[in-house]
Amino acid sequence: MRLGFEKAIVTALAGVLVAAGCGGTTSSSGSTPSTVKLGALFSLTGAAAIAGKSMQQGAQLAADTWNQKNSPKLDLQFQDDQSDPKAGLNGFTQLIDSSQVSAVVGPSPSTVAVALKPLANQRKVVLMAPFVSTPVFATPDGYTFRTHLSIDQLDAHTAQYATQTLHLKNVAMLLQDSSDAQAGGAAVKAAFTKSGGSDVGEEVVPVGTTEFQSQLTKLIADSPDAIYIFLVSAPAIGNAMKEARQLGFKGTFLSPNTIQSAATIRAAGAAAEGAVWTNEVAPDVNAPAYQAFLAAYKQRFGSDADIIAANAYDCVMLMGKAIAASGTNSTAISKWLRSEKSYQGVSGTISFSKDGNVVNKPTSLFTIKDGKFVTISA
Amino acid sequence: MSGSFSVLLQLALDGVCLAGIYALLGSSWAVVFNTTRVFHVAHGVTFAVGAYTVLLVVARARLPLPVALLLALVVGALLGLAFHLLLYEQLRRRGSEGMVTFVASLGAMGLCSALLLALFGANPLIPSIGFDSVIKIGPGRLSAAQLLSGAVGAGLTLVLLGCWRLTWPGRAFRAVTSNSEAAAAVGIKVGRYRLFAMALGGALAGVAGGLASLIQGASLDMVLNGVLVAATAVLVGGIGSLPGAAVGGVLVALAMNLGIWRVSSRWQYSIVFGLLLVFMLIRPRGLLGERLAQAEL
Repeated sequence: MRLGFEKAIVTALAGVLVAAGCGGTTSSSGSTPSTVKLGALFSLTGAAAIAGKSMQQGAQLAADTWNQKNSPKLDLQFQDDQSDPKAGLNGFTQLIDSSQVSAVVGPSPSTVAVALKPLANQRKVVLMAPFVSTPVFATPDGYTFRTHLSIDQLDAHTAQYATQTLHLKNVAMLLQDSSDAQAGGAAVKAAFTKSGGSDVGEEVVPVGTTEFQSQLTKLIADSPDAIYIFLVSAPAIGNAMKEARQLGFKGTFLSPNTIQSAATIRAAGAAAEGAVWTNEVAPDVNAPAYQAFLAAYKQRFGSDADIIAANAYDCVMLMGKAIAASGTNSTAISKWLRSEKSYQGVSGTISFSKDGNVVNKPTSLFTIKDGKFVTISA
Repeated sequence: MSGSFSVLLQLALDGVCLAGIYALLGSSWAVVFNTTRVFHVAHGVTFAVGAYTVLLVVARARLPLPVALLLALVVGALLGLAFHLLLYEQLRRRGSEGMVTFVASLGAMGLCSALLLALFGANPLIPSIGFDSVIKIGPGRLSAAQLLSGAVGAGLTLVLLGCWRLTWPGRAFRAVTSNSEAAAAVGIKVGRYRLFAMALGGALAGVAGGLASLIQGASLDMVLNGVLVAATAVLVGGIGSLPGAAVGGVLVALAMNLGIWRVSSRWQYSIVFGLLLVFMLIRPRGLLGERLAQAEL
């Protein structure tokens, strides 16, 4: 009968549509477009440009790797935050309004992240930072996420090693004028005070300062066992260490992980020997996924991937997974991210707390020996 | 203890070495400002470019420091000439003065800073170039870089002051400084001296930047900080007086270092602003500016 035939056609068509809708292994929402724009806001220029380059490369590799086998395809839209809050805000609004991205990975430095946080929450755009360490970035049930431990977690660990294992008593601090420097300083001070020592002096410098003769003169006069140098620019840290040694300081340098760059050694030379810091490390250097990542990165860019690139890679892959699972709606994406409890990334297992902070990533103490970065097993 | 006299001594030593560089920087701006009366804020660009030049020549091209400083001098002179011919001379021909020229100079400074950012990135350049050995002076210590930069800066400043006082071109410059119409009336080619002033001022600023780079590397911050120090040195030392600018530079260097003896160093640059403010309120002619009233040809 005719009606039956038509019914069959309609049913068949419906079946085909449903099958097509469920056809993609990762897409559950029929309204997710086949290509999704993902913002990538990094320091392509600026004080954090060295880290920004690692992020850019890690992100690019991730997008290309994701696009080989998964959908929706990720279309990275790059903007430069110039390591400057104003430029970062500009880049962020351009990504949201002109490029119409669904979410943003970045920015590079903490100062920009702090500036972007209110806007991300207000405009409801998911912002995932690969390597931002200021504790101020967290937002309970909000839109800001980070895959990197906060500075107080990392540097508290360094300070603990300094007091418990190296038995250093007094610390002096050279801090740049930023929220993460303040947080790091507070964590270090707490650790030293707890073990019976003290913070004998603090000097604050504008971000971007490269010469610290007068500040170090004052700090060293109080005979600290250690000097904690929080600067975002690696060559500036190197110069500070060199000047401190020239002024006669013989103790230990403690610093945040921004020190971990060849530019530090170039600026400091032998003065850098023995400096101590904590950084994230890959969970298992022999894991096949990690080895594959390293090999792919080296082949693509000709240089070795660092933990920053690994974090940026994980951010993009994670965003891809989130968008594939929950579509382009920001609230859905952020909910999904918070529910993801054990994403196996190349930088470690990633799981987010309610605030968007990452919890429990593997770390290690590092030092400089013979001009090279080596891990300390403590 | 951080408030003790050994700290004060160290800060004084650091200040004295820095004074050599700042005296040169202040004098370089005075040469330009006194002769042309242009508030050349883009002078900071020349200071920064001098720093980058020296570091690149020593660290990358691996040439000796004297060659590097000479190159910084040449590059500085060329930059000064460029500002003069492409900007200030063009404005002068159109009859622009004062505020217009100042704003144009600000624009030039912004444009050049953007170019420097594109070329070098905002991360400071601090390569290893040596001059790290330490010399002990009582309880104080100075690095070879500090001593060298301070000595060369001071030496060049003294040579400049000597030439300014004793040579014929120096007298011609001083004539243009005190009264450009009278100078023209006695046959001094004022326009040419303006050009010389921009070239000479640029050359000296380039060297000053190169000397500063031995201690602090090269960074974009040097553009603004450089012109802040230079202008304060001249305004404090006295407009129209070259020795005044040198003295002003010494004062700024000492104030920045000694001023933070018992005060947090976060106020270090504020001290420079404060010094400027104090002089503008109490003695706007600057320290040696009075001499202007009795200037001799």
